Amino acid sequence: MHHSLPLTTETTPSAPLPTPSVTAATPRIWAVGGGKGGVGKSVITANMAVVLAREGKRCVILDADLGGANIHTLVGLPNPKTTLSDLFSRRGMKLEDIMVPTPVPNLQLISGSRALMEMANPKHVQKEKIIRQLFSLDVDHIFIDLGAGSAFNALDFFLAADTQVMVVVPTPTSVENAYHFLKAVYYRKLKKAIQTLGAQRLVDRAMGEKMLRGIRSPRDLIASISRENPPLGASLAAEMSPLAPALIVNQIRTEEEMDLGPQMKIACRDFFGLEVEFLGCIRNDDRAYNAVRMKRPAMEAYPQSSFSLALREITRKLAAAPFGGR
Amino acid sequence: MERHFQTLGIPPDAGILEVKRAYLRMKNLYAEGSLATYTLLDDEERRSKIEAIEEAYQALSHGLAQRSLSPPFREEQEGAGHPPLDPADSPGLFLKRLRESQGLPRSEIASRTKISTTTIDCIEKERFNHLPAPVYLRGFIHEYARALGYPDPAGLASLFLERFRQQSSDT
Repeated sequence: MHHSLPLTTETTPSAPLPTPSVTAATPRIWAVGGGKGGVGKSVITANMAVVLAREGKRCVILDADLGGANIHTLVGLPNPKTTLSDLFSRRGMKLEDIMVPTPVPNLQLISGSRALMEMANPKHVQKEKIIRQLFSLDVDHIFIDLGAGSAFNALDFFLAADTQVMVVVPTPTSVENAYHFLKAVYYRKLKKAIQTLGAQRLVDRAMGEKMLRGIRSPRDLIASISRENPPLGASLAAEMSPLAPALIVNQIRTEEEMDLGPQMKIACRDFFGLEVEFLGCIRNDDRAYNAVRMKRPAMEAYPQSSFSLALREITRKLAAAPFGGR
Repeated sequence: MERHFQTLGIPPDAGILEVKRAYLRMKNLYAEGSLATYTLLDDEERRSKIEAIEEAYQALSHGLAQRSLSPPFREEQEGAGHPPLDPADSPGLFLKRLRESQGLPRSEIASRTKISTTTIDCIEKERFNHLPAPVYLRGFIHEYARALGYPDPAGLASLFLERFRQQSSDT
């Protein structure tokens, strides 16, 4: 994997100036989720953003891990002056008013720290407001750190993103939570698709005959509907197709654990009919841990660590892939 | 036929090699205690999944053995650079031929993989009683196959271990 990387990717201390976007395009939204806590979502989010910021792209991290926000610490910003709570408690505040610069050039932060307790699950209108304003921010990339769990809050941010990244570690608990998260995302999306297409009755009937029709997975459900009503089945499959999460297996320690990503990819196709893109493995790396203790991004503190090399490759691969505009 | 190819997750024009590899891959994936699937299915679902995989493999390997008498396989057309040997028959010899076809001495593989030349020799000759426990062996085969640029190192490691198991149950 990463030993094949050329060692010429050392980041220079002086970052290039932001390159103005050629078109006034909408920013690319990245969401990093995957269920379990402690698998490295925040660390990966922060460092992915650092990679692109160092390349001169204007980046913002939205710390949507309300109630457990700590991106500010990971990028070395002890006390953000404004946070998401200001967006709701002070009138006339916009998302761009609460962005704060970080020690990393070209990287700004919308912090979720000190978010009010009741905000851990923002109301629908608040969430819509954030998502709408996100799309119109004048930046190149927006990274959303979703935090643990599969609350609607996390699911909607994940579904709104252009680039959907799931992080797992090779433990049964993490894999279990990742599937739970994926199922929750899938059904939320499916529910919306069914509403959009007015297919509720057909779905109810199919689910009523679940045992009879042998429906065991979301994929079986869509197949069953396709048999009954092929055009509707096709539209349903088309509505679901933008859901194509990418997978990172973090903190691997043995050769055998390298199989997990490709295996989960097949399982997701088999079970959900979902094409998950497996991005690669990141070896367990003490320097990533040390960087957190130093309150600096590993990408800055240890740019040549195996963690940084692997994640830089993954980030560049994702950034190079086209994404659908809105 | 179509259904069986789908069960194994391979295209309907797949050759017998691909069927074998996919079969082992799927069996691994849905084996009891598999990290990647254990929370997705309950025991009964897992059993019926394994049954479907076995059935698909039986049907396809039988069907393809007959088909192989007539038109050439896709894999045989594509795999011009590979030795015309089925890795499932002798994964060790397969690795040896693949290494030789690239003109690489054992020492080169040893320096790329940090596996000793003696072990490499034992892998190629399939001298199973001289090889370490499966848990280490899998990693070795994986690394060796990867060093040769073989596209599916995990599959080859499974084939090798499968053969290891057969051998030890025969004796």
